[in-house]
Amino acid sequence: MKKLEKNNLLTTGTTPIDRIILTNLSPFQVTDLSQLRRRIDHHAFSVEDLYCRLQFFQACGLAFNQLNKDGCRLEGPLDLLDTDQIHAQLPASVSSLIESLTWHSVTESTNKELLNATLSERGIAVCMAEYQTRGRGRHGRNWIAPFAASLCLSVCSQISRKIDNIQLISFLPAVALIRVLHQIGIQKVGVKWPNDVICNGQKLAGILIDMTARGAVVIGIGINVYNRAGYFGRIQQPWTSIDQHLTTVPPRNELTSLILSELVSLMQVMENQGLDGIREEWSTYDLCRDKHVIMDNGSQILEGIAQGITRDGSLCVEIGNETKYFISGEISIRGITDLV
Amino acid sequence: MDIRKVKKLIELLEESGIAEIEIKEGEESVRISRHGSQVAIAAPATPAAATAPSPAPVEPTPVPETPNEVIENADNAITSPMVGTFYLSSSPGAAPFVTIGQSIKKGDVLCIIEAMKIMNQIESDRDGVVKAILVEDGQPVEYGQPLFIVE
Repeated sequence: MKKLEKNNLLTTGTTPIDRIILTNLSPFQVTDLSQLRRRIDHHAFSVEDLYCRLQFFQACGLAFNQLNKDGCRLEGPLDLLDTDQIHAQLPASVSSLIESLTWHSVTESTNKELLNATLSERGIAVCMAEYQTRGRGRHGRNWIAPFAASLCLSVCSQISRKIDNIQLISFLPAVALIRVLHQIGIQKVGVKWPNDVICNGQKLAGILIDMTARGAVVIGIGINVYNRAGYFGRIQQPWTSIDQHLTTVPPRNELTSLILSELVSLMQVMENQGLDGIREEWSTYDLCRDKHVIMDNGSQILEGIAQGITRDGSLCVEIGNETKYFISGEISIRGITDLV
Repeated sequence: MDIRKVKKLIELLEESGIAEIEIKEGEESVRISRHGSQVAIAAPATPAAATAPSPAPVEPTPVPETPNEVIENADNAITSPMVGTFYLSSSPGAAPFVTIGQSIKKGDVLCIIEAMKIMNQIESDRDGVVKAILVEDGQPVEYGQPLFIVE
């Protein structure tokens, strides 16, 4: 392995080494860097490289109480993702459809990892990462999530072109997430059109979907699990995390398998019955309805009262005496999700 | 140069009596003329675009058509298959999918149009060279709106 440059540490190729590093960190004792280097057992990976990599994890939001060339100690427990555990927790009906389940310590974006996946007709590929260097949001925003404190999860499948109003697939992951949040005991959640998951007026999860001309769809989900106040301070809108609403947070592996189960079963429903049922369920979680909303579509900002959605999923907003329909744009709900 | 600026210049030209205008901005320059085909983005490139209205020199008032009207009829325009927001790159700060002058092949991704937070990859339906990009990054587009000129 080439000696790692400080500014050039973002390689997915180091994932197996990262796995060894991360599983040997602890908040309860100091990890000796020389000993850890021997465990890695790679002749070209020096203590200096190891120290560099740990500093990089720290820059990505992994909190340390101590970090120097002798040793390191985490600030709190590390709830690391584990593909074997996730697989084991999935119902057979779901795991049989998952053709690949991959984990990255650091990647550019989990959606990007899957965009060119080759899959059989009904097969599903899943990709997860502890950290994304280029997580995407809408309107040119970055999705910010500190190392191992959120879930960055992407699911890819081939969808049949015969599904009516395929853009309603935008609602599907939001419905799946809200079902899971209800299951784990977070009841006060709703959705801001089209698919931001909001809890007490603060964003808990975001969704971004990529679709290729050949009919592959990649659903990207980001959920804030643990509050890392210092790191989340960079976010320009009100946010929250699961740990702020539950006394006991389910391990991220459990959360991942719950989400995958709901998501995959809803995708089955979509293939068999279309998306009308999902749209109807989405409407029951709609936070915008009858609220004063502000819509920014990139060229103008409009205000009005949201009136729900049309059959094709467009947002209806009453502006003056006119109803306008939006298919794209950033919405904020006055008094609830005002942008900072 | 900003496409809106070019539009504004054309409007200016129409309002005034002048026949030609050339504007330089740093290294970029644009020349717009009432006659001939100096408005590069508006010029129908092939005889196949016979339906494209072009100022007829014998007419007493040769008012040029606005670029959009000309382009909509041009065979060399790639139009939007949907309503949404236009993006030239996959993520903020990333390199654009295509740049002016670039050779492209059928099936290459040209841009993304976002609707309902679905980033739809738009592919080229032909081989060619990108002559113009008609929409700015982050702007809303309508169904059928010309996005690129590919020759």
